[in-house]
Amino acid sequence: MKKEELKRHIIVILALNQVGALARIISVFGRRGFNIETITASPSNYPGLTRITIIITATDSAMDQVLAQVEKVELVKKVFTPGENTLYRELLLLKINAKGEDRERAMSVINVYRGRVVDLTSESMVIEVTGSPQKIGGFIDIMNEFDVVEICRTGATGIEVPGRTFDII
Amino acid sequence: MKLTGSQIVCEVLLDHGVDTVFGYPGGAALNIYDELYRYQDRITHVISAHEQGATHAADGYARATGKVGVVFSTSGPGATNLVTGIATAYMDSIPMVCICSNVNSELIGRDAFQEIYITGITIPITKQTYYVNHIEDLEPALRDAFKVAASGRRGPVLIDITKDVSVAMAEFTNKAPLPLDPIPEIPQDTLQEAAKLINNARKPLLYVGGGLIASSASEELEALIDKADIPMVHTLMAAGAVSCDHDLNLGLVGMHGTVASNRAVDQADLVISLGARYSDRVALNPEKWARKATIVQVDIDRSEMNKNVYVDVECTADIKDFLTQILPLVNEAKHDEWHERTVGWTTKHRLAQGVPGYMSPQEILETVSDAVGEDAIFATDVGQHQMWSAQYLKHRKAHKFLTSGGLGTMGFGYGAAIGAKMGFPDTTVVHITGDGSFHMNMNEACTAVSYKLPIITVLMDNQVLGMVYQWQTAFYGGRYSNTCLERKTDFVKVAEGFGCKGYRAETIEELKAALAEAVKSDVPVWIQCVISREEKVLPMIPGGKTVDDMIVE
Ligand SMILES: Cc1ncc(C[n+]2csc(CCOP(=O)(O)OP(=O)(O)O)c2C)c(N)n1
Ligand SMILES: [Mg+2]
Repeated sequence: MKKEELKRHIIVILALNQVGALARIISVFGRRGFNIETITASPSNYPGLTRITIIITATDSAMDQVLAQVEKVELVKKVFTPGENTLYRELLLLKINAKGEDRERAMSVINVYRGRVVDLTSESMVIEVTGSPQKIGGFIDIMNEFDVVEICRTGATGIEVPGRTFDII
Repeated sequence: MKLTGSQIVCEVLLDHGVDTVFGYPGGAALNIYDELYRYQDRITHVISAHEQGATHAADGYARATGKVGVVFSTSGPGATNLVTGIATAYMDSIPMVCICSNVNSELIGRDAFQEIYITGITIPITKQTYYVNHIEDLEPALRDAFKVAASGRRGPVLIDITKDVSVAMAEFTNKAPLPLDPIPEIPQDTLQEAAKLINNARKPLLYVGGGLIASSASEELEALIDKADIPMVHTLMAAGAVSCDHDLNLGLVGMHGTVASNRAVDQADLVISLGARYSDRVALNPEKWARKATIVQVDIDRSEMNKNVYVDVECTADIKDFLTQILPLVNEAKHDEWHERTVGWTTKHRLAQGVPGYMSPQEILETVSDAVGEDAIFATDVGQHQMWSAQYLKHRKAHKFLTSGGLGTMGFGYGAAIGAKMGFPDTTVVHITGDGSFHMNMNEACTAVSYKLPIITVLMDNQVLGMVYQWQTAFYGGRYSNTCLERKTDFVKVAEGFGCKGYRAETIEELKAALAEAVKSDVPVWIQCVISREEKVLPMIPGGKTVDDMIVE
């Protein structure tokens, strides 16, 4: 077996929206020793089906194995890895303590990233940014110059640009 | 018509042809058990000594009959007692439907008395779980459960029914079972490719696993072996796939496999696996395993492909289907040199030297095999006696060797034997156990006695946890931590206490005499065979090693 490099992989799963479905799907990753980096889940355009987007770091062959295992879960109706031509977006909420000059410097960064200030007190500000995971990562790097008190990001979700239609059930 | 949840449970069982179930009642299950009382003329419920025994019985029933095993339990400890049995079935892909009861829905999530989140606990060891707290979900869940358990790669499923659902009413009509998932179509080019590889191979080998047994494809396998002159090796799960008398059956492969089987894998230029999963007990060193061979993997479960060993051709298919379709594409062939080499390795197989003054495991098991004949069903526990059973019993037919291969569950054997005997009351069923394992399940003797199941237990008593003891001898400098049991159990007396018959044998003559009584007995019989603790399971390839590191004495 060659030594394979680790890569980031994005997996999209359409699964029946039932009690315990998410737990069972995630258990497949845990059981095979994968750490999930991000996961999002929301209703899809198919009634009764939840769309789950998962990011993991794994070798290609480990990835094939985990895909096959996920496919096998009874509640899972479709699994795929989106192609090159996919738009990814995630949402970031970031809180900093900033006053006076700091606040102005922060505003200029926020503007470059087309972020918005969604809450402001005399001490702190809460900033909202959406964009690709890379953009969010870049924004956080820069904001680390400030007194960051809290970060939360949703994790990526993605859609292929030339639409894919599914043959489900 | 309108039925209660409990009636729906029974009616769906009948719709699926279920006439025998195993289980244990309790508070949350009272309504369902009340209904089982009313259905007792159509559904026999076997009450075990312990829920674990009931799951192993349902599992053994499924392994022996090929049907779906059904087990009932109450909530809380009843449900948790199923876990080892479910995991055992899951690891060996045995179809089983577990029906648990839970507390009333309004108590769920409040840590009510005997409430347990069993559908959560069993996620990694089931194909699917169903939590039913609405009566309208009950019938669909039950029907789907039978379908999922028996479709594709089989396995256990679990339904958890709240107590209120078991009395709630719903409209019901009897129906035929849901159709199973269709078996995958085999692409023509894959078949052609596999056939071409077989036709061009000079040293082909079939590597046969439990999937072949699940698919009941023994006849098709033998046809291929004979037509194309291909030797086969089998895993623990596939003992009896083809008779041990067939000269091209080289025997067990892997850690305790025969020299012939392991050599053949090492030397083959083509290996075709049929429902086998290249486990660490077979492909001990996945990188060197079948190092000279092109590998074709046939399995019903796509996720098995390339899981442990990289293969050259993958074929997701039902084994019987594959064999049926490939046979006409395969040329009649003779591989004289390869045939003679592989078969030659089997004949060089030396007779294991016994420890002087004791019966040897080989003698014991051959004597047992001869006494009960080729139709007998064997169920084993786990340890040295299990490996000896795989090596030395005369496996002639499929579905006759019930053993916990994947999980290696000590305590599996007695329950499994009870299940098999319920499925085939007129067939001799032999339970082969060790002194360690037997202490884990001898409680089920009461079940065998109550249901008049004259199961023959052959206890290979070495006074140690032999398999662990063997490793301590070989790899731990003889530091026998907690493996020398020195228990004072008087098995003959205990047997009598349960209502069984007990014999003790120190010589083959005594064993033969006891067996002669046992095959005529109408109560369960225990035969304690005294063997030496120094007996080893050989040959052995240590984990991670190759055939070159095989220890033969
Ligand atoms: C439930 C369970 N616990 C522990 C083990 C580990 N184990 C494997 S073999 C073995 C010894 C079995 O002893 P015995 O039943 O006397 O069989 P022997 O090896 O002596 O034939 C043990 C402890 C196991 N397989 N299953
Ligand atoms: Mg022992």
